[in-house]
Amino acid sequence: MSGPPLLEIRDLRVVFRTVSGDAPAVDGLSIVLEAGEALGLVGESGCGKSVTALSILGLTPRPAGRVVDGSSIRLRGEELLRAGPERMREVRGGEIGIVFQEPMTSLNPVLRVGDQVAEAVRAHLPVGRAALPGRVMELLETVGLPDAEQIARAWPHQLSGGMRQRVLIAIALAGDPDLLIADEATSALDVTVQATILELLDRLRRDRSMALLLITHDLAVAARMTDRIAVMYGGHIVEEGDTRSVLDRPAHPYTAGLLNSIPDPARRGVRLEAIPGSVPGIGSWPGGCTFHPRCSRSFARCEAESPPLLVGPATRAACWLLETDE
Amino acid sequence: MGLGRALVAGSGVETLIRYVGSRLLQAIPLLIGVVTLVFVILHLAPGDPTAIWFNPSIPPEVLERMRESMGLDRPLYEQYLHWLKSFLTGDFGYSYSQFRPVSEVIGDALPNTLLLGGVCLIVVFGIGMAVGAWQAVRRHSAADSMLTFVTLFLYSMPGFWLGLMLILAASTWLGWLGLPVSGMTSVDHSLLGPLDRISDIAGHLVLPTIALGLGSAAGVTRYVRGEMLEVLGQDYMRTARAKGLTERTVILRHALRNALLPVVSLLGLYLPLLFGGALVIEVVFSWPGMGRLMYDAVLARDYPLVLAASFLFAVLVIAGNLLADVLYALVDPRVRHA
Amino acid sequence: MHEVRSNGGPSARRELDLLFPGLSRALAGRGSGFLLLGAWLSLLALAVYRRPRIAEFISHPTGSGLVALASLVGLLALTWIAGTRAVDPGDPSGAVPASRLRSDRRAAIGIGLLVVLGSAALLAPLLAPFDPDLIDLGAGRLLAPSASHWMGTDELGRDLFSRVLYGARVSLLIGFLAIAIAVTIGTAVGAVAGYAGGWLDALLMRTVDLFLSFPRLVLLITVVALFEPSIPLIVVVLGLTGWMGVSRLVRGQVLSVREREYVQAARAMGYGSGRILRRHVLPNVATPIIVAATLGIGNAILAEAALSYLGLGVQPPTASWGTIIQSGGDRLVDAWWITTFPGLAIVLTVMSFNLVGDGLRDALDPRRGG
Repeated sequence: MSGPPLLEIRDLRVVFRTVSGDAPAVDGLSIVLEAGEALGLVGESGCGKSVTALSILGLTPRPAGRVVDGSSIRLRGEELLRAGPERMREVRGGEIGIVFQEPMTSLNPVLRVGDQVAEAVRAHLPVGRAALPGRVMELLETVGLPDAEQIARAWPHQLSGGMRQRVLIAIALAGDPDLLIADEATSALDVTVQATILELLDRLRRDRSMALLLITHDLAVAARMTDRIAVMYGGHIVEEGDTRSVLDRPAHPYTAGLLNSIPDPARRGVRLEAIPGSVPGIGSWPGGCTFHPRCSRSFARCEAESPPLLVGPATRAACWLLETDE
Repeated sequence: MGLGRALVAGSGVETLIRYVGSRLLQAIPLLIGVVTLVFVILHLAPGDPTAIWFNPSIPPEVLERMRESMGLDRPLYEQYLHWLKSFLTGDFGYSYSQFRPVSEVIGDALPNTLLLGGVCLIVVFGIGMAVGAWQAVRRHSAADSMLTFVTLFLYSMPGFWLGLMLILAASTWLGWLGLPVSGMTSVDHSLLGPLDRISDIAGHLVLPTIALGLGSAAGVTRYVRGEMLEVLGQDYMRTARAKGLTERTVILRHALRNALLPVVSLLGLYLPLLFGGALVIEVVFSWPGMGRLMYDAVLARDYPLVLAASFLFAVLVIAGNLLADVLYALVDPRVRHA
Repeated sequence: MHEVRSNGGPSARRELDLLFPGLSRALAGRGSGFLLLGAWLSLLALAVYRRPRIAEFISHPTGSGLVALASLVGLLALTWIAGTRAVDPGDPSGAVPASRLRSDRRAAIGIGLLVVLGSAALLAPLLAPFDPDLIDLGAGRLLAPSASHWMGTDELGRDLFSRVLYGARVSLLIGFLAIAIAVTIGTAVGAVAGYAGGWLDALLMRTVDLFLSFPRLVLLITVVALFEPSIPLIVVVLGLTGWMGVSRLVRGQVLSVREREYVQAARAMGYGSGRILRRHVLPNVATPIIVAATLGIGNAILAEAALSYLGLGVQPPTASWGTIIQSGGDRLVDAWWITTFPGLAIVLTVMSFNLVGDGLRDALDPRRGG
């Protein structure tokens, strides 16, 4: 890989302002994504993954949220956190596309679908008025919508959830981005529709040699779609490595716990283990290793110090166990 | 905007016509209800309801014969049917304080009220939408807080009092503006050329419009601000920004269009307020409209005129609501397919 | 607050509270302390200053005098009770979002204003510097506002400030009574419509549409034209023209609660509709109704003022703010105070109600926020 990585996030910290002070939502997150790669960012709700996605595009909800100094988000070496509003607008949609979780409410209800796609195209590509409709049809067909002409003329409320999500994917791709972020893009859809959308994302990624940042709480989804996985807990990464390694030989107790709590027909009759306790809310993360209160293997050091990512047998994990040669 | 497309685009037109048709059908029982209500009120009033139709100075024998000829000694339900028929056909009887058929009298006054109301409506909604949307975008700024207070103040003000204060101001320290404080036309109106006539009426419109509209404008502003704030928090706004559109496009094309839609339905709410307010404002400013007509009629105990005016006000509100519904269907695609 | 000192310690402060309620709170820097202390001292000052008048009210009792006395005693008692309650040792501000505080503060200011206005109305006989009906056809006519006549005098030489004070009683009373009627009707109609559904619901809602088709003032004037104007009539008609909004509100709430599981569970257990309505549905509706009622009182006051201004409302010799404005009509420029001050009183009052209503509504609906 020559040159800087496509996306490099280093030590990202995002806090939200509340009456009782600043509450951290993302606390020292670092990931690297190369061009054409598919990275899964896996974590339960409340761990800060969606905030991460928004921060990449400079869409952190203001004035409540703000990115703390010292964070770095680089796109091919360019520091996005210091980019001006003009440049960010170019990036949004033009170099990084994003699909959100709620297809039912993410389309403007009073504009026709085709207009909303066309708008995204025109924002980034010099397509003339005459060529625009054709381009829109192309995009709609690419995302697997038959009868693109009718769909383009339709209003959002006339489409099903799955169709709307495809439209939103088309919008995200309209500017020909190099990176597509899918933030829980299938979580609000029916199971059968989920599979088709995931397939679509996979195909699109390969056809366009696009990088994919797949944000999800579902390890199974990440397993299918990604080259590498980064597990997130308490606002930062607790384990990362290539997908196979993370799934087969997880080094962090949290990852192991997540894997154990997935129902598996092969292990029928074996009791499903849930991770004791519940995910701490924003602002109430414990000191030291954020996972230690729920960890069956924690010891004194875990409560005192927060571990950095340490090299493990097949992956890297933020766990003191790796230093005690367990 | 969506209007042209809506009218041309295929399936849109039929559903629109069907929608308008159903709304019209719904308005008919409402009209009948209105006439019935007026009838009921009349007959609940103390005294002989039939006597109200006649000038009390008429000698009793003539009265008796007139009563017979008008069918006022028939049973109640027959009277009601007769009443219903005459009201729905525009026959409101005779005004004995103006010595003309009521329909004529109202016909003269109605356009003036519509003029005042119409101009006021444009001002109210024009200001309201602009200021309200602007406030929402500039939320938490000093201007927003100040405007919030100002709109609250205006919204709590009696319209007629504002009118009186305006007259006071225009007659004293703002006298140099030369704003007329009463009537619709100047004394020499008929001698003026057509262009001057228009500006004459326009000048007379200024103060009454402000008095009538400022309170409602404040109300619309508050409402639009709320709607806009809600729209700004919607998911599709996030999508719009993620597309890389300019902030201006995001606000104008995505936010405003959604926020201003419900404002049309606000019209239905404000019409009765506007007409009721017009009544008092017309009295304050001696504007020759239906409101002042009704007021004079009450003082003169000219009941046919009072009841007819009451009915007509309701008709205006119903018609206005109908228009608002149609307008809403035109601009919001979701309504037509419901 | 927790230091142990030999003098002026917490217990000593509490005893001072018995004489000066709110003092300890004020010393702790809490705003409510200053308000309570201020109210207490003002009320006491009023009582002392008006000793002769109070004596008169006791020896020659009149309805309004007794109301004023009872109000004075009541207010003093309330202030004292509130001011001598134990003070919490600084509660944590908690995770209250800033927007919520803003709307709570709005409601608090509104309530404060209303308390002042309400007290002024109730205590009118004690507060009014002059007898509002005292006519002075000599040199006292049409005096501009001055130190002796704060709001000037009218064409009959009556002190305007006193008239405005007494007028508050009429306007506020009419407003409250009208809304009481409106809320009762509206709640009943809305509850029945929402719960029964079907044709009854449709019929009732059409009736709502029917009443909404008439501008309120038009209906008011029509009825007053046919009947004789009187305060009970005005109250009733105001009530009959103001229930529609409440009924829609209640109906909406009933509809949403009706399908909830605990209601279905109650029905499965055989509870009657009445009991379900009372115990499960109505408590949910209470707060939106309060909001609607508060905003409705403001509207009722405005409607009554317009009606009285037209001469079709409250009839002389009773004076409401609207009639006072009307009396100043001919002399708009010469004696501007007669028209201006009652109007300002109306604005202030309606604004307070709107503040409370808005503040409550925003505090209940976190989305809308300051």
